[in-house]
Amino acid sequence: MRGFKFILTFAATLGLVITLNTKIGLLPPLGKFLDPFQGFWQNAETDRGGETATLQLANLKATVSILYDDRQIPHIFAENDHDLYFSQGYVTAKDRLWQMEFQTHAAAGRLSEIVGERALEYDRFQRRIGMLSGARNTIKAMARDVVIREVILAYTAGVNTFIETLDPRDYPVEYKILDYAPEPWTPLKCALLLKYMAWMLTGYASDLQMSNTLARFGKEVVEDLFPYYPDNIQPVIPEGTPWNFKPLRVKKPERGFVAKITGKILPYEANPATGSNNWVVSGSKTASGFPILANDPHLEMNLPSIWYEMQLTSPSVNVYGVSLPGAPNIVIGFNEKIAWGVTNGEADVMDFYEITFKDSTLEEYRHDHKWRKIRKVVEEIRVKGAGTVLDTVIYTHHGPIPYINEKPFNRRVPVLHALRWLGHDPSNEARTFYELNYAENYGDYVEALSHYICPAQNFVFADANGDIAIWHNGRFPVRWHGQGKFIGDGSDPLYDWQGWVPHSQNPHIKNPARGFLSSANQNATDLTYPYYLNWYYAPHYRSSRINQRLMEMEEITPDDFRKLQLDTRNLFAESVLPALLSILNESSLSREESGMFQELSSWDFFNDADKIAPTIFKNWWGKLYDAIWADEFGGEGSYFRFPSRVRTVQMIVEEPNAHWFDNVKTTDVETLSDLALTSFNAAYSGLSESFGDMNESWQWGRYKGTDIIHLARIPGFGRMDLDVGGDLRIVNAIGKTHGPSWRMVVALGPEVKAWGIYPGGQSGNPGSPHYDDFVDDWVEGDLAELLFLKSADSEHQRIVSKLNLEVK
Amino acid sequence: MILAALLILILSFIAEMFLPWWSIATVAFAVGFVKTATGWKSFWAGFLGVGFLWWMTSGTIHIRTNGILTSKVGEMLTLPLPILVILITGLVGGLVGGLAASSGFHLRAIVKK
Repeated sequence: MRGFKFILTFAATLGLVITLNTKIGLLPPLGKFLDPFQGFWQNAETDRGGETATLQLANLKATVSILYDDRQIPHIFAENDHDLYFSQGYVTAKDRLWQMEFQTHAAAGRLSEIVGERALEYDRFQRRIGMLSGARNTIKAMARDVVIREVILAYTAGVNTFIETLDPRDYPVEYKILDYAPEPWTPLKCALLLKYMAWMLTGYASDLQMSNTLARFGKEVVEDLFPYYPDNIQPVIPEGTPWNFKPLRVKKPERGFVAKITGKILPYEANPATGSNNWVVSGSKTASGFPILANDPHLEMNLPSIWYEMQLTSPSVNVYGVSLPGAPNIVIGFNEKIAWGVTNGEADVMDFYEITFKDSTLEEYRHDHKWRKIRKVVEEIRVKGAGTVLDTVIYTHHGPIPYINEKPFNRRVPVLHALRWLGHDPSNEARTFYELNYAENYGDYVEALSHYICPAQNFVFADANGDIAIWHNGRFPVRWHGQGKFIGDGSDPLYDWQGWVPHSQNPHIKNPARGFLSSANQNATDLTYPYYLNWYYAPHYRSSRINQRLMEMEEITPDDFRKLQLDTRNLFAESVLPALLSILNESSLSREESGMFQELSSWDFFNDADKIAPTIFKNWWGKLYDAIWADEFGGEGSYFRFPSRVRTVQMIVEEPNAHWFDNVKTTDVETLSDLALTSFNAAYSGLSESFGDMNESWQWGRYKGTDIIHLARIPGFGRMDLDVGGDLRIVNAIGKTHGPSWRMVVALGPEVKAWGIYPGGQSGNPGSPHYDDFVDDWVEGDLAELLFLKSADSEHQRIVSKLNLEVK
Repeated sequence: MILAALLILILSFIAEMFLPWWSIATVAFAVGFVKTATGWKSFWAGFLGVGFLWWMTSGTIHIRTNGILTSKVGEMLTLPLPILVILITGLVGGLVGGLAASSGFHLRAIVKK
């Protein structure tokens, strides 16, 4: 009996300990996690400050002094460049280790190692688009550059030195929740991070949807609905800028290729929420007489933030700005002489090719009248709790075949699609950022840009000499007109990329007569530019508004630029709403609907948080757009591209009798005015069902409810339902999940001054008061004055703590 | 029992400085073996010893850090009140401690015979 009691209690104890030490489903291992001595409780922090810490570290050459200011920005003062990048790696890891590792695991397709089988499809996708092989090519290119190799190695050593100091109780809390441990950092991870950014900004193509659209609707419809150059656009390089060079020639295939209709398609469409603004004015338009520059990149907003702010100082460099945790240097920022910012260039650097295989073994494919051999790469995906999954990826000379539908395997001659993406190529973008950090003038800036490949950006520039400039910069394939708009013929060499636009011929302009330059992801040039780069860019709404304001503004101060970044004028609504209101049959509206009509009629077109009109307009437009196009372009089965918003507005305003307004699925003939009314009714029903008749919860900020979610989507770790204005396609581009991920204004001059903010906080630890302490100011539209130190002045009133790294 | 509970509390505290969290089970088991009178008493000694240690420590951290992480973890675990995170922390520790201590007691009962 007594023996039985022992066995029972002993087994129960053992079982309980094992259960509480194991991660079950989405729950962390509860015993380990709740343990107040080693579990999550150890990650709770109080406000930092007032302390001086000294650490002795191997791998350093001299003492480094790191001053933290009142916003927890580290200002690193090193005596040599090796120690500078070592320290950058060290302090970044100190605040952001988990994020650095998670993002690079995500890029490499290794999330299954952390979360198990539910990430397997995602990992397979990452491997199949060639992310890992692109990063491997890139790290080889970086290793050939002696300067960058040393920078990357020093940064890596800094990160690893920090990791080695960690006891399991010190691991960032996400490791404890997901139950794993950090692994050593490697140079490959730096390359992976840069490729991850490249994918985010260039990893989209509508070739497949466009080919389907062409096959179904024909050439005339495609030319009408998907034009090469939209109305109203003011390109990044102002119209009429002369091109003083002799362009390379390109051979165009004689016969137009029409690809077969494809069924299953991966989600490669561009996310309209990803974009950016930047602009610069010369001294002729400012109160100070010196240039002022502004930049706000619009990316998915997460906690921890994609950006980490810092100042890097050594005898050869003194630069301030934001860095990407996991990559050395400052990516967007300024030094004593220059300032720069970026927006996505949107050139087409990703194409799909239809590949014809010899037989179902997929060993050989047709190219240039010959059969060419494929290359197979076996990817090993380790899955937590389920061993290793092998996945064979087939590579053609174009690139990998990302998706093998189950069915074509059974056909005798399968047709598959190969992916050509510039991100697969070796590149050394780190060199560009490195040189920009050290640049002193326009010449240095152009030299820095010449190393840059992907993702192409509009690099805006200003210096203390008074020069301003913008380069639409990256490596661009030389394309014949329209190449890459549709799926290419993978067997015809004339569809391959035939060469590169020489760097000096990239679209650019310095010191324009009008005294300002800007970019907001719109077309880079007008049609006189001798190369074809892409057919689809961001619509003109943001860029037109920015240019309209810059044109009017004089005696500009930095605060004027802060206000312009916060501008919520909705040019899109302004372009279409008056026409829609004029055709809406008011007499058939209910009393509630008339109230909505009044709201819209009296709207000043600003998407402010407390206004109701933006909510009504967005819902009305969404229903109307669907009503116009879904009957022809929507539906199951094949997948077509919907005509753009700009083209739709143009049709509503200029071609109100177009046949597209008729719903082909009904026998009646619908007019635009019919659709306007039914979609208005539907907008009312939708809103009133969710929120009741028009009331405060219809207010734009509350309706939109911007969310800054945790990077691994951990509930409770984000900042949800922020009541803030703006929207996509508006200068202040705050959408539901994407928005200005960093706002910066730099005033050049004898003493450079700068302001900035990002929606997050310097600490990546959810248990720190500095995890999200910038968010409220960001919502308010405030910018912080950035502390740019000339020397390691630890007595400065804004310095709150100090970390000394000494040679061990 | 009070003495045994106190002993478990102190020894667990020391063990947790160096060893993983489940060292609390080893400590409670050992104390249950040498120091308790009945099965139920040993359970309560282990439960209260570890439970109080975990309650006090997590409660102190909670107060010192203004509950900055308690509320986030509470939301993650879909608990209606952050304070429940502290309660559950102590309950989990207590349960392990209690079972381990009573198991220690029952082993001694065999050995002594």
